[in-house]
Amino acid sequence: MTRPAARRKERYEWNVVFWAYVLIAPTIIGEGLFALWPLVQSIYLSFTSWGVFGQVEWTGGANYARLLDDPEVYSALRNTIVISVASVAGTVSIATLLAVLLNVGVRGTSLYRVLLFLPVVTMPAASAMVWKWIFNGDLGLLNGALSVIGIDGPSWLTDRATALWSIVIVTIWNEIGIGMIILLAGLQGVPRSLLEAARLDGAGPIASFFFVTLPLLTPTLFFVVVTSTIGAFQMFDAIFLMIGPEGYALDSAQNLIFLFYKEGFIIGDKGYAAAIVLVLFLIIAIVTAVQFWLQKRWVHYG
Amino acid sequence: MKPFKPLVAAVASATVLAGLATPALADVTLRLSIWGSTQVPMLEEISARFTEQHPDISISIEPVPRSDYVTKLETSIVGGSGPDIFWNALPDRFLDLSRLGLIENLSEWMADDPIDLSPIAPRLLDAFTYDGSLYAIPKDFDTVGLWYNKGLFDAAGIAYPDDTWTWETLRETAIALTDLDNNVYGFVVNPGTRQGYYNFIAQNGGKVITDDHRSGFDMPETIEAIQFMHDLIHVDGVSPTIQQTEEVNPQTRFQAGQAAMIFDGSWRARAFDGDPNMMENARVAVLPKGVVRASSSGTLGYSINAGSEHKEEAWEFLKYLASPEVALIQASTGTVIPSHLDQAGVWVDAIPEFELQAFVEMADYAAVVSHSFNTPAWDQPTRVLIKRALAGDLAVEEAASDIAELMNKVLAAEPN
Repeated sequence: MTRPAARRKERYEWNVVFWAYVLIAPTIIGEGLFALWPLVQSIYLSFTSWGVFGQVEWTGGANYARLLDDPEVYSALRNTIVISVASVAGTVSIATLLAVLLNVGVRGTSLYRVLLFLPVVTMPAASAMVWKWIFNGDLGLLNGALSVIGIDGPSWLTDRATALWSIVIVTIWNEIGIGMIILLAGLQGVPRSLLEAARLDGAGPIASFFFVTLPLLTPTLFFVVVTSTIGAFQMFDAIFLMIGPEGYALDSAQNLIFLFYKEGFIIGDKGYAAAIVLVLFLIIAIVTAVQFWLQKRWVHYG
Repeated sequence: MKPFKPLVAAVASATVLAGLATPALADVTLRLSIWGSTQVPMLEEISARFTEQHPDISISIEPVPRSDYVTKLETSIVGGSGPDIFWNALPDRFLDLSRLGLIENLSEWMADDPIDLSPIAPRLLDAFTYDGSLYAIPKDFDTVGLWYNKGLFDAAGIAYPDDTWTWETLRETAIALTDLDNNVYGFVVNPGTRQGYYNFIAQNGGKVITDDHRSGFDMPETIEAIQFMHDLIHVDGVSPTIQQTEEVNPQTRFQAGQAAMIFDGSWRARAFDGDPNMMENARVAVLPKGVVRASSSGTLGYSINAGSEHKEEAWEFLKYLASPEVALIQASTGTVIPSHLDQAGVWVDAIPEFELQAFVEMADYAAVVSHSFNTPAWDQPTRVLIKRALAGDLAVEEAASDIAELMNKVLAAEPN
């Protein structure tokens, strides 16, 4: 790898390099200004007490000490993990299933593809309002359907036992489309010749899926798992729009990002909020690193 | 309420005229920040009239959703891009804005250029006074009353609520009016502050914040008030549960004829206005008496941003906003009860059907909403804990002692 790269580099003219940097500059500057710089500021702020009107005071590790002692942080951490694990598992398995079904080439594939992708391009606020009505205890569609089979459903979003799971359901619904499209692209990259060879060797459709298709799909699966995990860790809008900052079931469903928002923007304790969000940042970084390390064991790059 | 439609037309044409005139005449544009959209037509009318008198100053009204208002105000003031003049509510950090000198000390301005504040209710001026100086001009106030559905009372043959009512009358009547087969609740317990526990607590002689700046949630009177609300739901069964109320709010249930009585504010009059069912059936009485009479009262004031580049012009506009002329526009549109008490009657007459005078009567004993320097820090967790107590998954005493603990932590850290 190194020699061709080195040789290629020699061939580049200085002005080609110059223009390359010019062309990536907007992204680099934007990323630096709106992602890296705020990160640096957040790290600084997490060691301060920041009054609402900007009186910053250095307090050392006080925010982190408080964080370790705050039961709300632990319950938010637990909810973050539940939402992430459940929604990633649900999203990836359902999206894989749908992608495989669509890849078989049923009539009207493109129509199904559009329908399943629609949630991705729907305004979160609009879909949250619709889901709120679906989940409504007295008038909701879900309980209406359940009553047909004789089940008296709860008030999904205002019941402390079900609020978290309602959020998980909406998150899965939201994420399936994007996962499915990416997996479908991955499936179409599986060489037909390999599948034919497997069939000639006597493999049935199930066996050829598990021993040929799935291993070749693992790089795509890995990508979907990593991105949807990060997305699930940062899930905010469904909680904000369907339960709300004063919701009765809020503390049974709020995750770390919502706790960050609440402390920073409702209660006005931005230093503490910065400490919370840095903990989340560390968790995401660690989980992603672990995923990259684990991929050696299950991802096959053809 | 009849005068409104012609007014809208007048406002619209005035706005168009003002808009056409702006480029030629206006040298300064003042930015006025408010929340919600209900009062925009009224404020456009007020601004247009002001610009007529001061052709060199035009007003740009900037409405923000209520839920974003405080955050936006805080960040824009810190960032130096704040509005010139804005709505200020007591729990929205009024005290901090005054203490840190982020809003103009109006008493200093008045020393050179006096305004006649005598028509304004003294308790409203007191509310916006910090350290002996006035920091906002009271614009309006509201109180909370007992909205009842006349039709449901008639059908049950029960006398309408009046000023002889006590908590016990409320409870018994609510029991008599509750008819769950027809999906009618006698009363809806509102878990919020203004339409909920602030009233019951004050009526029972309790406090949210005590005079020595501590939480009042460990007072037996306060706990008893929350318990009374809890029992209306769980013992008497006259109210939907907190979970149901989160899904269908009390005013919607009342409007649908599924609630005979609710506690709600004077501001609801504009929202119910024009609904045929409400015009026919919605009426207002004073809140029932507990140990004492009380009604939670909010007030809104206009403050000038100390960082504004157009303070002189903002002061001119503020003087106009404090005038009887503006009070009359506010009242005659039925929008809000003006801070000028002598014109409260005009507001009552704007929508005569609802019998709104009860709201004005309650001004005599209305208590301004509880607030401290850092209200948001205890208000949000308190609301959630009250909901849990009212839902019955946390004992009332336990929730109250949790609230007292968290409030005392916040209050002790406040400047005082």
